Amino acid sequence: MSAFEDAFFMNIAPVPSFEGGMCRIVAELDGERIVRADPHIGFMHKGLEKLAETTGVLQGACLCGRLNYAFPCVCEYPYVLAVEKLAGIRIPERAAYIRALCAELSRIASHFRALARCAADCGASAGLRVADDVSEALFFFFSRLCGSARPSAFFRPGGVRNDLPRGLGDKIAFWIEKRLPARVRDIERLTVRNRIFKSRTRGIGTVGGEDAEAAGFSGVNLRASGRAFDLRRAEPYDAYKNLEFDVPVGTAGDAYTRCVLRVMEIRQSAALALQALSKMPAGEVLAPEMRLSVDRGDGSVEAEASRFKLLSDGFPLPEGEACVATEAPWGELGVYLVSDGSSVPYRCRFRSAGFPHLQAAARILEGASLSDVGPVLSSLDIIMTEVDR
Amino acid sequence: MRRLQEAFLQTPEELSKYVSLRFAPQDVSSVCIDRGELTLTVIRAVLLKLMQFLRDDPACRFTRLTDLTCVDRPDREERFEIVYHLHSFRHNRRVRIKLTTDGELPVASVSGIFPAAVWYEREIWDMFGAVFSNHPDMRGLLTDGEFRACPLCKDFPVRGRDDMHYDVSRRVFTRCAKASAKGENRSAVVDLNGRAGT
Repeated sequence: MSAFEDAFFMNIAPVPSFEGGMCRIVAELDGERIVRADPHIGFMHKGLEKLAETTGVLQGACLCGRLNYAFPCVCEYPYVLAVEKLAGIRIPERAAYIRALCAELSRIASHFRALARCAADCGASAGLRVADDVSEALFFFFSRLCGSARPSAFFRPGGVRNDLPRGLGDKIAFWIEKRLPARVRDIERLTVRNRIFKSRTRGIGTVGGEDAEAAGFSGVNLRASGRAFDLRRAEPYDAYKNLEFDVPVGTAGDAYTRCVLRVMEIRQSAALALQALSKMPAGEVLAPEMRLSVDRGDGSVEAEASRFKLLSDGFPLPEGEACVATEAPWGELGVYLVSDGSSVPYRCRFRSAGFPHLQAAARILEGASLSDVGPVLSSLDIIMTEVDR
Repeated sequence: MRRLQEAFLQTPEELSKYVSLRFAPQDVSSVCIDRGELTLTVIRAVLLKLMQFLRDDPACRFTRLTDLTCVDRPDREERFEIVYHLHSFRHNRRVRIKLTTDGELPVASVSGIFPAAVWYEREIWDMFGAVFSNHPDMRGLLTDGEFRACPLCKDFPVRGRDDMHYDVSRRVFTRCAKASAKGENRSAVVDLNGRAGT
């Protein structure tokens, strides 16, 4: 019997583990084995790059949050850094630490979510409850911090929108010290210490170090393949120069290793958030030249007029290019900003982390069993809204 | 020996000297260091040679293609600027490579050197219409099969050129040109600097 007679095509879609959207994988199957997989993307394409080329940078930062609406501040991070690099804005120390705090809290929630999805794809939906519990706690903190459960438009070029409310730092520290460890143990028991989870994820979706480099991997997926590369360490931005942390690195490069690294990173991020809270100096949170974007000034007509002008026209960016990469929870999220000297970026390119991961997933899935598709994809932590932009 | 080379190539200036010593000045047409970022502009003919060199040379070792994108400049003779971002783990360094093309003459695909380039080049073909030669799989990526335009080009309006309707009686999707914007709320298409908007 020839292989041709046996093979048939199957649309695997919508892949349920993709919470941030959907993707269709056209797989050529031989029995239960995948011979060839071809991800079709673009269902979540919003044209964010085009939109970012039509608005000023203050509005553009809000657009970036839509890359992954569950964790908008992480998506705004590279954009505001690129604007600051272009315009030469120096941000106050305190703002840098508040940013690090928000980024690390988002990383905790994102890793919980990724682990829970991976567990759900292996049949254990209880993990989602644990992830929800963590998200709920963070929703409370973020809504105290900036008024919305998802901290959208909180990072501004020049700093952050407002300071921590009084007492919130203590609440966050209390939660991290007293509540979070139990949740981490829960998710650990449900995933990486669970016998069924281990047998489902060990040895599947394996990517070697060389392959991972060539395929453009980043973040946890790259570190699971034995490359000790973390942008917070390699190209430290903002407060990460002064924070101490370990970078967990795996060797096997399979789905299980990626999940183990996520659990370890949750602990590192918790320690980082505590460090950011304790090392946070007092002072301003927004650079003086950007003060008017949130403040009414002295209430005079002139101040109001210049505020209106800043908010509607934006401010001119110096001519040039800036490329900034940050360590988002799901990989390297970068922004390449080209300015021609006007207040609107000439070209704004989002380097999404999931894009190369999903591209490589086609090759990783070759030869895998049909039941491995879910665990492999969710262990790569691909966010479709961010892939399609 | 290796340590000597690494010490030699610590800054972007030194790396740019190292590269320009090995390529003819007309091949690497400009070297620019701005805000600590090194940008090399090359001509199309030497792109693959330069990429191979940057990946394999022990003092460079740019093994990861982090990004590949395009910038549309319709006022220029060769309107598309293809931008490659490379990253080296060995030396923890980045470099940007640029070349220009007019969209008619194909650019050599770098997917043989960096497998990650396949989708990036498909995306550029889809979004800008610049073509690549020797590409294994030159299909569109983000738009659907019937969409025939280059949405990220500067001459494409932000709101699109046509609307899609579902014709119930014929049970087909039909396209028609966008209605005149008269009487619509145009606050979203305020012409900023004469560039955006319809």
